[in-house]
Amino acid sequence: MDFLDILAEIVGSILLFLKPIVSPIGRWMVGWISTVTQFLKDNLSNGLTFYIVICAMLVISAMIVNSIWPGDKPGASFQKGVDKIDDFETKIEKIDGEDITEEIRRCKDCGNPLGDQEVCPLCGARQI
Amino acid sequence: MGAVKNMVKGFLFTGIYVVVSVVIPLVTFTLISDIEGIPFEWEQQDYNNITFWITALGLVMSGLAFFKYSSPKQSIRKGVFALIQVLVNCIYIWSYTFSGAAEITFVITGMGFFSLNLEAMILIYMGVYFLTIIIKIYDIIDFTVNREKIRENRMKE
Repeated sequence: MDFLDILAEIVGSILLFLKPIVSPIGRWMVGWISTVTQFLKDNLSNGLTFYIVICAMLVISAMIVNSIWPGDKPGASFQKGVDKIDDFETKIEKIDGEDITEEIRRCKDCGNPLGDQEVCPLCGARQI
Repeated sequence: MGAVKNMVKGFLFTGIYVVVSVVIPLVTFTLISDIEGIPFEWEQQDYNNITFWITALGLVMSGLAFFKYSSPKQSIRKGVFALIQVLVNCIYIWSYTFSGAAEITFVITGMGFFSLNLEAMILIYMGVYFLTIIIKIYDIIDFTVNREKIRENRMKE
């Protein structure tokens, strides 16, 4: 019991010491909180619907945000898109490194690029 | 931590908040008002005000708790929602005075009455809460400035 008395006195003296500093701040806090609560009382005190909707919206939006961006890596649905973009970029990098001019079909006589055509559009030579 | 783990954590803390900020106060006030033979009166209007504001603000706090605790640690969104939660918590605590619970008059049958004023205690508590708000604002600034470093550390885990 002596220990509890000493503890109560210590806590009491700390609170008394802090009171002149903390109380004015508390009074300022109470000022704006009173304004907000008065607003809530005047406008949003008819039913709980508004508060239930806010709660549901917070939970649903948090679930959506978490599934898209859980923090350590992009979420599952987002990851698919990221993987596709990565594959596409890898393909582009591969193509950039290769010399594709050698693969183009050319006319045996004049060397003009042919594409899928069997007759050269420039010199008319048939490609057999 | 994956999305599922985040959400489980969020739901867990939402449950805790619902119990602590809605269920326990409601049960306490209902018990006080229901017990017969106790020699003090609780006005019906006070009881209605208290239950309404506790439920309303408790629900908002629980929703915010889900957002806060399901967010990755040291993320900006966690910091922002922690700050909003502290602000709503202030309003929640103050709603006790707003509904008359911080100045309760106990009427003792045949003897008279006595009044219990908790407003001074709440005033000091609000002062302490102001310091919490400052810390939360500092957290948001810290998370924003060191965003890249925090993200790198999180990826390593």
